[in-house]
Amino acid sequence: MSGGLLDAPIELARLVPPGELEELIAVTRRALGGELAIFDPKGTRLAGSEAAGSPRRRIDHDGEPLAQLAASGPSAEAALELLAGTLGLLAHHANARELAATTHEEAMRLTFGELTEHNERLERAVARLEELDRLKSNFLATMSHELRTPLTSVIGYTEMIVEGLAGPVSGEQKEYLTTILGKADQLLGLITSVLDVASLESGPLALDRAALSLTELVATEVALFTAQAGRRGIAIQLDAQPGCTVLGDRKKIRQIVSSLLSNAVKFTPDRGHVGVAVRPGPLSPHEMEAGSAVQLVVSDSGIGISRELVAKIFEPFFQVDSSSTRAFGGTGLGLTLAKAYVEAHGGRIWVDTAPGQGSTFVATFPAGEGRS
Amino acid sequence: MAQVDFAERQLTLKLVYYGPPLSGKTSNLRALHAKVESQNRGRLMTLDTRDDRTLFFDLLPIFFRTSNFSFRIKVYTVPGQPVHEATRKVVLAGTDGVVFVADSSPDQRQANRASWQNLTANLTAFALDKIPIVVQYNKRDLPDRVPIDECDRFGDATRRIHEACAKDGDGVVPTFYELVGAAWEHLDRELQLATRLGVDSQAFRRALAEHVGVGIDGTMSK
Repeated sequence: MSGGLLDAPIELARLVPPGELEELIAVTRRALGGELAIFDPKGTRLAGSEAAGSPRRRIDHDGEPLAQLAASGPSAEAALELLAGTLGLLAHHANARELAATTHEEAMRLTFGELTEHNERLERAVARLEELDRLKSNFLATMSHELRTPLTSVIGYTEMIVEGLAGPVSGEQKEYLTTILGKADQLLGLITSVLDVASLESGPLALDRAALSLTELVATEVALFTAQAGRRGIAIQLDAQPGCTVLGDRKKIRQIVSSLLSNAVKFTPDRGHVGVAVRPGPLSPHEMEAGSAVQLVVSDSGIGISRELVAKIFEPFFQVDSSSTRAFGGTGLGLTLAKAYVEAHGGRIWVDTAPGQGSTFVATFPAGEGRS
Repeated sequence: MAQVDFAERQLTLKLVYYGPPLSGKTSNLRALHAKVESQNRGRLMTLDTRDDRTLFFDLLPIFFRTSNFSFRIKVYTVPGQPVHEATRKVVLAGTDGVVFVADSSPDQRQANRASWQNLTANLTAFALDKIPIVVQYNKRDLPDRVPIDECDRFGDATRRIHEACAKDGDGVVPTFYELVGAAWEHLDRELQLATRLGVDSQAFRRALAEHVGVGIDGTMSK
């Protein structure tokens, strides 16, 4: 900004409209008679009559010439005095108005300029962040793929050795190889989850939908977990109403059921219990219509979650307690994926929980394409 | 930057009174208005904030002649409230010197510092960081005023501080006098005023003291 914005020279013709100068002269004439005229400092007549004669009174404003005045008639001196005083006041207030308007306008222009500049900076930052986010998702997808490929060979060849295809295997060797296979499967699961989360962030989820029985799918998954839970004395109680059908992606729904079951078993102490139910119910906790959806309910007698943390458990890589990562294992991606998959099916997922009182997860799927 | 018209033999200086809200910037201008001879000053113009107008500043024009050269000094205040930042910048643009009016009240230390930082940031933005700044601690009549030795000198331990009680007019003229002199010397270095106008710093200061119309004893300065 250049200086001098507030330093425009005082010009009577600019500050006071000619009509007001004429009015001022008319009022003074009515009071004192005679003829009057107002000139600019260079002698150009701005208002009044030629009959007033030549300018003979100069008036200054803040040390600068403002106007010249002419008057004739018996009260000429008094008229000049009155006119000079009134013009000085008029100019002062007009100048104040002009300064106020100019300053206001300039301040607004300045503010607008700064806001525009700020906005542009933000837009550039957002674009950069979006680019970084895209790069991160691409990187994750690529890396997950690159990690999975060699792992397939590790698992495949290990299986061949265990099966004796490469020659006889001793009992001890078989035990070690089984451990390798177990850990390799675990690693594959982890990489798959990371790949799934990365693909969630890269764009919309594609579903391969078909009518499927949630009752049967859940029963199959529960059977898979029964042995694992049984080793820790955990009983899984299944209460699945027959005929609960949804229109969904079998693979994704299996992952949802598996995540919720795995979560429940993982966080339930030894000799605790896990309950699984499939039944018609409302689509969301706020809905009253009982049969609008099919509900999958998984409850456990585990550690529970505090109110503050409930909002975070569906966030990627979140663990309720960082120490639980070691105690319970897991990536913190299962619930994130489960939520994304449930919502992609038009359903909802929520949890009812309190610390020390276990948790009940409810995943719903819209009916209609639902119960048969 | 000052307006110098060598043909018309006229120099216009722009000075700004800056500082936190209610530190006494307008009181300084009112006191100056009262002390300067009426033929050497214009009306004090006060533009208030009203309704949604983001305006608030005062202007006091002072003018005098010496050696056939006419001097005009436009003295402005800025609005102290943080919300009037844009207006403050508009008023500050092109200034030749600043009086920083700090508040002597102990609970205003933070406000003084914030306003000082705002001033220096704005001066830097306008490439005006070399212009003279005179610091005045106003309200020296407060019973709980911060002792002068403990007053913030804003990063320069040798900075001279002017003490004032602007509502009574005390210390106002020495502050003003020092700033005008410093602004002249700053401009003289840049524009060789002494050579081109034939008026040196001493002559200028004498004319200023004479026309501002009061004795410059500097007794309130430390």
